[in-house]
Amino acid sequence: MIQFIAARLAAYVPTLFGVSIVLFLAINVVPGSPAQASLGINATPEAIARFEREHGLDRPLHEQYVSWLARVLQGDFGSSFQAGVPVGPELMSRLFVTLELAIFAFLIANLIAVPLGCLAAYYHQRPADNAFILLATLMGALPNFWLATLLILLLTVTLHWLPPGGYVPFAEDPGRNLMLMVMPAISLGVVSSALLLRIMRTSMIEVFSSDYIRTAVAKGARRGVVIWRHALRNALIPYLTVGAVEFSLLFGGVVIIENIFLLPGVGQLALIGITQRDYPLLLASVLLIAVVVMTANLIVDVIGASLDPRRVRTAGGE
Amino acid sequence: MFRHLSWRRVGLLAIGGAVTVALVIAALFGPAITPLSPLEISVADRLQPPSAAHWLGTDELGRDTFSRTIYAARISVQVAAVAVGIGLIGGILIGLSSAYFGGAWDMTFMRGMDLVYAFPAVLLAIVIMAGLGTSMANAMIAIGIIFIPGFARLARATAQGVLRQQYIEAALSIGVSTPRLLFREILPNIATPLMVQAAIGFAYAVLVESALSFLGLGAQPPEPSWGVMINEGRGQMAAAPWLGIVPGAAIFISVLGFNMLGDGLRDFFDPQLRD
Amino acid sequence: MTRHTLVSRRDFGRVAAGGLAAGVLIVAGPRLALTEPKVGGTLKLAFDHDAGGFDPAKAVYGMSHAVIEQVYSGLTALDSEANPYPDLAETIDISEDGKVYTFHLRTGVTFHDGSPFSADDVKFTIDRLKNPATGYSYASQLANVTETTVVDPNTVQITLSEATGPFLVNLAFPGSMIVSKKLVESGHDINATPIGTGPYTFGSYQPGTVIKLARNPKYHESPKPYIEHLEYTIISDQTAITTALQSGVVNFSNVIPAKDWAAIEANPDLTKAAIEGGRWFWIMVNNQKPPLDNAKVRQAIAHAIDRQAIVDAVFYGLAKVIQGGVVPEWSWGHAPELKVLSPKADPEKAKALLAEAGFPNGLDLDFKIGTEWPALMAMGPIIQANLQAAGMNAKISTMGTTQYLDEVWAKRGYDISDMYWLSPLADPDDFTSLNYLCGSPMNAQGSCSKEMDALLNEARSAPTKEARADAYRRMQALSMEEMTLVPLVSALILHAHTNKLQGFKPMRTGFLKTLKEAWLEG
Repeated sequence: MIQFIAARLAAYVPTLFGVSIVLFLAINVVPGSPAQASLGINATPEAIARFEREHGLDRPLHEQYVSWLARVLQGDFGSSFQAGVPVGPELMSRLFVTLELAIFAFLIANLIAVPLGCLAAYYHQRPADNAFILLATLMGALPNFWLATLLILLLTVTLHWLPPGGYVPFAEDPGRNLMLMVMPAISLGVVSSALLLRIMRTSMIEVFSSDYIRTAVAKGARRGVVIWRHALRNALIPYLTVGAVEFSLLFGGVVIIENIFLLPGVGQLALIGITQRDYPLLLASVLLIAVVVMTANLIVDVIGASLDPRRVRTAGGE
Repeated sequence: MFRHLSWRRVGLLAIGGAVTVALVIAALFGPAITPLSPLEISVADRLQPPSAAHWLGTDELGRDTFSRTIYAARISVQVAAVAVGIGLIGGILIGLSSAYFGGAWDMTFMRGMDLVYAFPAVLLAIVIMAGLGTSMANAMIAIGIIFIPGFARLARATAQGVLRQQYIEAALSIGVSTPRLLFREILPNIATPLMVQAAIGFAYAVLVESALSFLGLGAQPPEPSWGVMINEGRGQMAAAPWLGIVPGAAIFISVLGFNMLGDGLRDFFDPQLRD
Repeated sequence: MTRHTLVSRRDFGRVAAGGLAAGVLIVAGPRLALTEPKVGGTLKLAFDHDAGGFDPAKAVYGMSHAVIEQVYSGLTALDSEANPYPDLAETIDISEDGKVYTFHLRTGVTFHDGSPFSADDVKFTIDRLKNPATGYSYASQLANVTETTVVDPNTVQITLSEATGPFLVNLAFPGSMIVSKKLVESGHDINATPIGTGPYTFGSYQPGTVIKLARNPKYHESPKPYIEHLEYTIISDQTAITTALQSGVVNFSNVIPAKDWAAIEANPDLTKAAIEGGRWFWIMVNNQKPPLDNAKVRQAIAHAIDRQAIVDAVFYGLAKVIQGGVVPEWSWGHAPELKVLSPKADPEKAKALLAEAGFPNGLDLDFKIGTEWPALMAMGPIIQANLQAAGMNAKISTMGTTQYLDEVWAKRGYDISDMYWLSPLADPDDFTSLNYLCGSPMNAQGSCSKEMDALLNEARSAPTKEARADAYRRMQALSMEEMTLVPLVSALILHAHTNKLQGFKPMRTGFLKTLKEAWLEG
């Protein structure tokens, strides 16, 4: 077990290196020069040359990578090509936005999944169970950007209840901050809740049918107590495993959702970096997202292994 | 034997199958079924609400929304089929060889898969698209690539299970060639879970394709695509809400259909795997 | 000796502050009683693009310039009608031959860091822009400058190689604005933290999100500016700009998408203005690639397009078809009699031209579009359908800006592409030279014509405005024959802002220098 965790941890760092190398190579084979992107249609050859010199883009690729890596290891992510602002602090301030969004979305997903999953298990093989399963299937098929579009149509365009997007730091105006988070968090959370609901239901069914819960019921424990005290606690472990995966999926979903709702998060930064070939931005933001995803995967593996050492992960493409 | 074939499972298969068949028909015969041209521009008829002439209204350029929605199924099905194909073939090759050869070979491939897994799928697809350039073919490749690790891991895990079976040992002992063993003996035995995964992969491919198109990284105008249509419709939310609602509903129904088909297939072949 | 002297706006009194309605075109919505200017408030402005650095010499994007024009001042500035007036200069003397400009500078002007502004800074700025190592993208504007001399701390003389009609206009361009010699030489990064002499000081910048500016209390036109804070909110999603404006997240925008104009017009809390400015659209045609090197083929494309359909569908009527030259109607360089292209498509004429050129069976075209520009994307299918009707089969491929700039602009790997430009100077020269002059960075169609260059040069250096106007008319007539690019439409600039904003005059150039004269009601 400890060996397994050690092996996973040992693989973590090389994978991160691998990711950075793959990204570095990928961005350099793609068509389009960052100089031209930053300097626009009026760029003169002199301006492009100056830009490439200033940013070291005229040096061989491996040299660029090594110097970039050396600086990153010292905590310096460089400055954005276009905006000139240091990437590190920018990334940190955006991480808060994205984390807030992901956490709210995750909360919403759980608020839907836990009670409904429990109820479904409780009504196992009765119509209510099928209804909850159907609901999960429906929610899982929603494209999050479409849900976002529908929410804006309903809550902003029609009812004028919520602003269409934007961001205010929580410290500045808590009420407005929360208001602005509602639609993005729902868009991500509802879709995420589908899988969580199914997992919750399945684990609860297993737990309900286990001998020791039956014993507890036989001993005359109240139903509610059984569900909350015993069953839920035991069902939680596999649930958490999937939860970690879902959390990392949320980090993927933020790219589009942040863009729709104008949230200055990491996903939006990644998209800016990609479209404008702003390498420092792109590398830093995509790496950060990769770190979150890898960490979530690691946690899943460790929890999984501690539950069942023989377990072989066969997770799907998504 | 068919004890587990309850109404729910039949329902899943029937609905999923029906949606899939409908989509394939729309994809193959789209131009023949649509009442109007999906491409014809008529500025005078722009932004019409749903009517007898235009069942689901018209868009900014006066093109018929119903026809465009039907026609767009072609792109979704095409992309999904090719992407799942790429994922499936790549995944089987990598997964089978990893399971069979093991050792350093296995290690290298699986670490490579970890690399791909380190990116959220949509983000990875966006990065790949940025590299390859915007086109439908590249969207297929990008989505195919993000599918490979999932299929590879599944193929590897199930193949490892099969390899432990006694008849494989027997086959090995009588000197069956490696390719024959892999593709004639092992592959048929792992086909079922891969097929289930492929159906679900279809659903996911439709989602990712529409997300890419939504961001302007997929279908090329004037070709209609659901993702592009939602994005265009978003700009007309107040004046013409159907433009955003209709294509999204099409994605929703397709994804639902493929998912149900996948669930149904899984239930049918392996009730143990259920949920 | 002196032909004429431009007088500082300060000297003809506070006409601007009092005469509110003079230059404003259309203003709907309830008109509040005229009030006195007062200091205070925050104006939140929505823009659809991000900035990219704030060093006047390095900035290329409109959003960078929108910040630079507030933080810096130039020797001249443009009023709402795009006419130049002295800004950091108090008066400007121009020699008889139009080659020597003497700028008598304002005294007592300071940079935001407190250091005094002087003639040295002017010379430093111009020399810096002229230095090839700087890589200034708009260096062509100053191509005729041969020498900049400091006469005394308050006087600068700029000598030109020949008379240059738009010179004072070019000096008002954000790129030409005056930077501090001391600061730049000290190594301060003005690209990240600009420090100028303008009405606003630079606060902060969060990429893709917001740029904050604060009132400069020591501005040389004090008590202007009146508005205490400017927040430039970047809303890259055009759809969201309107909702942000409607819901009060922002309270000013001049980049409102045409499709939302009806909804904005219906809002009684907003003051609106639709202005004909310098924003025009065209089809770039790769002049170097056969068969597009044949003027007849390019003319065929020009006649095939249904410009009225573009006006109606893409701009909801808020645009004007360009029937001839590209200098707009409101400019003195316009050529009113030049009506070569009909508003509707003329596929028969296009086909005839194609047949004359030797393509009776039509031809295939590679049509590239950048995805970042919604209007360009929207008109793509219309152009394609129009070309189809005239026998030209255009295959559209779209791409992100970086790839687009690389393939289309840098490598010229395209047949046709649609483009637009918002002329920041609104001088006829700015409408024409950039696009038509051989070797100009914006001449991505790769056209080169001696006659055209000669006419452009004549138009730039002619002694009188009348002579210049005449040359522009001939130049535009020639442009219709050569058809190196295919003009489409000129789109209105759509402004809307809170009714509380008073005294604001929208500018033809889409810039916001005039914001310094506006104030916010309580």
